[in-house]
Amino acid sequence: MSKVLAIAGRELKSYFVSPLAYVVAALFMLAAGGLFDAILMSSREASLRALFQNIAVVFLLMVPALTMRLLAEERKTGTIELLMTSPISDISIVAGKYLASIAYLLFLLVLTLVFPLALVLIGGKPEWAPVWTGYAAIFLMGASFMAIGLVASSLTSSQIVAALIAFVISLVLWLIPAVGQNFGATIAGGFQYLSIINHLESMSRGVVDTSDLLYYLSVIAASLFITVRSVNVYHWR
Amino acid sequence: MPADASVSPVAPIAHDKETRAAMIAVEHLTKRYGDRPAVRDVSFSVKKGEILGFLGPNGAGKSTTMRMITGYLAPSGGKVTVGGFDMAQEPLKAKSLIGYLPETVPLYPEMTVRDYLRFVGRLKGIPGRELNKKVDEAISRCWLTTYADRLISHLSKGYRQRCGLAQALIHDPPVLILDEPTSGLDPKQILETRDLIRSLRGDHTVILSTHILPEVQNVCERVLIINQGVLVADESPEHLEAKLKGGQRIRIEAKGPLEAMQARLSAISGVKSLSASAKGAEFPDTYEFSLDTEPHDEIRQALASAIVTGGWELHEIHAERMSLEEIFLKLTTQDAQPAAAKEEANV
Repeated sequence: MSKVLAIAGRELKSYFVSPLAYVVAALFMLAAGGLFDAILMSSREASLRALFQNIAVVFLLMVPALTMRLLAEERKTGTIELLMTSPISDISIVAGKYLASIAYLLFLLVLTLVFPLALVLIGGKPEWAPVWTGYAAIFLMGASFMAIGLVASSLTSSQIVAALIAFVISLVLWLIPAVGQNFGATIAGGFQYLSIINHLESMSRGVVDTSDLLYYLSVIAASLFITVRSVNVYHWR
Repeated sequence: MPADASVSPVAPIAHDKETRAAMIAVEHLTKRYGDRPAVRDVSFSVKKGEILGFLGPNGAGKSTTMRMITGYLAPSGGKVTVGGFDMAQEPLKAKSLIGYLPETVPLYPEMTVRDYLRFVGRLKGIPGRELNKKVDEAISRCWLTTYADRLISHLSKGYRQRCGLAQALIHDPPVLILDEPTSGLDPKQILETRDLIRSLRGDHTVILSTHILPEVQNVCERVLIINQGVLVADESPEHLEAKLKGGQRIRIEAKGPLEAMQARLSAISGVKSLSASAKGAEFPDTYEFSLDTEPHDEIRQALASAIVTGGWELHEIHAERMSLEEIFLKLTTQDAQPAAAKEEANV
């Protein structure tokens, strides 16, 4: 476990010694703040539901840029050889990498706590249940995007290609209900379930359905599993 | 070459051959990339405390073999055992015994030397309370003290190489695999690094690859030569040197009376043995001579002028070129040594 933390810690530090972490955080807060303002002014409602939807779009665009370097860069510079010849399993390497990206995601979400705080400060009385379930949902969604980004980063040593793969997979999961509409009701329902955004909608209403949790956890588990397999293949190149 | 017999590593090893256990055992190791074999059926073992040199031209399969020993690459066939642990079955136990300096030094440029070594130390499983001590030891051992708090991206090639060496040594591993440890170093750094590697003798089992022949003679007790993925030699440096400097083979085609030519050629100093054969019926009085000689370039001139001054026809004269010769030429030219490698490749 200490080795997993070592990998995660190094990864996070390298985020924060480069301007990338700050630039991304600043742009994220700029976008989220602008959206918060626009939504609040037009709806006059002390709610974050619409904001979460919009943050989801920002994540779709931003997460691939955060995850692209995770494994691709280690392969490009050869440091993967250090990791893979150390007494540490491939699973732990992937776990360390994922932990770092989750920590960064939490950092971003903590920054957005200024929005509910602002609602309170201007005298709003938001319903707290949908705020917290909304946070849980946006966290799970971001964590799913991060996991997908990690898979993509394991598939190539080019960061740009990794970002593109991550973006395309995420976009497909987003838009998949549109495909379902061409078929009968049962199949369309199945495609609805596969949509990464529908579960966010249902959770940010304040109700936590196990099927929503199950969806995000499955996406994360499947992605991490594929990443471990993909890292394992490095031994066989 | 150790001048003093007391530091010669060869004698004691022959002595306790039986008592020293094999620390690294490589059995029928093979690596194929598609259909192209990079390493073919390589087998050897390294005893505890032994320093083994791994020689070969670029692309011979040195790095691939080392990557399989360290568990980075999985072999297509065969098996690697380190400290009794099968790399395929118990990779974590086997890997924990190894310190490895890969060909491309695995550095994170945005870290300082100290942070980097702390990170590697944690990866290797050094407990927290010992970490600072081990890091300081590795830093001073690899002459990095004044650079400890610099960013790796600001270091020169030589210091990056040292940093790579420091990470390999950090957990004081019983086995060290060093892929070209002196590459990119200046002459002073090369000497220091060789001293450092020599100081590991006895406690540590070391495999180091190089294409610099004197390095092997200086540091190693045993030399493996690999060419095109195949092990072609397994010798002590003394034997290797004898083979390298032992002589050359020269072929001559000339027309003239056989006996007279033979007598004249074998009289030249430096010629050790001579054999002759007739070229064939279409070429009357034409013979091919094969001579084993001392390794001096002047001998060829002496042989040529002997035939010409004898009034005979010299058709052809050349020194034998074999595949290993090219390796050795490469090895010896790397350190600007005179090319002394004209030995036939039946090692």
